[in-house]
Amino acid sequence: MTAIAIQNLTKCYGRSVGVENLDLTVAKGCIYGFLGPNGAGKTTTIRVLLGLLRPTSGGARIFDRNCWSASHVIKTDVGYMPGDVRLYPWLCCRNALSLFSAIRRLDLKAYGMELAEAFGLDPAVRVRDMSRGMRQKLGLILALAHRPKLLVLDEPTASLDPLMQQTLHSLLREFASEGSAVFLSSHTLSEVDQLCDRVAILRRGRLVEESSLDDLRKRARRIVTIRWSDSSDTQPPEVPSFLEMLERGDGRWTAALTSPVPELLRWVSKQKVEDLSISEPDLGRVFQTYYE
Amino acid sequence: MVNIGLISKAIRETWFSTTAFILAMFTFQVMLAFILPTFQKDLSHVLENLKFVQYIIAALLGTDMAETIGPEALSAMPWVHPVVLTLAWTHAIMFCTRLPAGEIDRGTADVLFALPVSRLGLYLNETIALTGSGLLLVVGGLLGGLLGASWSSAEAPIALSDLVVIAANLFGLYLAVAGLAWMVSAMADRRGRAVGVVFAIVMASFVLNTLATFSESIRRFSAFGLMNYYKPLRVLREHALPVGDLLILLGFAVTCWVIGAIVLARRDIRTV
Repeated sequence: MTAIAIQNLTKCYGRSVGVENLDLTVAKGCIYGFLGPNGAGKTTTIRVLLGLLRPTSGGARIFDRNCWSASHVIKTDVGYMPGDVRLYPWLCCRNALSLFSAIRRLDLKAYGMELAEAFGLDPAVRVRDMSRGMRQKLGLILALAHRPKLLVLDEPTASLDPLMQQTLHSLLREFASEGSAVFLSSHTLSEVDQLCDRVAILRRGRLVEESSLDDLRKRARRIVTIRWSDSSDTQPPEVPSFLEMLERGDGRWTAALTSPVPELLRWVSKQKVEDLSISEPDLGRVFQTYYE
Repeated sequence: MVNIGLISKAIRETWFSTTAFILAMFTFQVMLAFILPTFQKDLSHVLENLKFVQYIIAALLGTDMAETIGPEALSAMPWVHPVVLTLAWTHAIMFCTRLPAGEIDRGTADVLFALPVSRLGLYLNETIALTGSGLLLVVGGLLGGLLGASWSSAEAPIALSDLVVIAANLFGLYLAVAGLAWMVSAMADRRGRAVGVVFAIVMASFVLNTLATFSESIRRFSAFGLMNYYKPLRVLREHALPVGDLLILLGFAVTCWVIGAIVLARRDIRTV
């Protein structure tokens, strides 16, 4: 069974379009990255999934239930953290867990307090006295405390320090390994690179890319830097077709590799090269092409 | 459908203001129930010379201007005093504009509406909390009225049964305003705007019924004002439950509540 199935989803706000003809599926146990520039329609999609917005046409299903008509049933198994977490100012972590336990009719306190300890959040501090990062931690605790089968997180690490980001990444991997699906929107490409199994990229409300990270890496170009031997009688050769020159001069080439690495190595072995470096596949550049 | 967590959340958010409103209502009723009968003779003498004030009181009580302001009218005064009405209306409006307008306005709607509770469930549990709070507010006024009356030197204090009927009538008015506030809030994204609209409607209704006492042409429209169905003086004179008035107030409240529930169930919850 898929965790999320979005079919031909369109959501309009009056004349403007939030998302248009969106199709995607998220499997159980998958960490799914949802990317796109501001205003691309990521939050609109997330709000449709949570039953906050009614689709204009098409629809979305979570665990094979309609996200609009069966929203309250679905949310039993869904944990959600909005991008800009706003909580009641009188709440602290401890009484938030009590309140959410009563509303969800589950005991969230034990695991919730474990999470608070993992995130280093004082359970007695009230929201009104919390920093943005602390509020984000509390939002995450409340989203995770009932061990949901689907986590929907809108920019979950935006206000977290690097250590807490690592803690969250470990938790998300643990959730996914137990079969839960994680659907997260992010602008942090390194985070998506480290964490996600698949990604979808939205632009102006339309899906422009949907693939696994491995496929994207295969398609991503590597940056190659070649330093030629420092010999006055040696002229650099002609640029081969598999190198797209980015920078040239001072006995050095910097180029993007457009073919597999062995082809480059075969060519380099016949040249008078003093040094060669080949970068990891540049996913950032791939994402950037969709953002621009 | 009943969710203790949601009810306790509503109470946690409103207990301070509700307590303040109950205390204010209680204190004001004690004062008026004590002062008005005690100084009845002096007041009657003053009112005879101040015709305009007499008209205002008659308008508040919904009586004919030709009638004199007697002991019954003065006993009914604490229940139609603008302060008492304002306390009841303000509490109802403050409470009922919290969902969804208040939640959307302060950005907490995303967390609340992401909980596994239907929108109708949220609405229903808020209604339970409101009904309890409103009942406490009216009972506070009733107890204040009884205490004040017991301290006063009134020759013929109001019967407890009449006081209970007046309080029930006030509760009906409270629920009618609450229903209206819910309906407006269900359509709004900004709490301030929702509060403003409801206050404007309630004040217009109040002014309509007040002016209806002075003008025959306005009186034709008095059925459209909520105050037309809240007449403590009539209860004191007829010693009967105003069933028709109560049914109209409750019918209005239920109609508005249902419209609000339908709107809330169908609308988008957007960020502002």
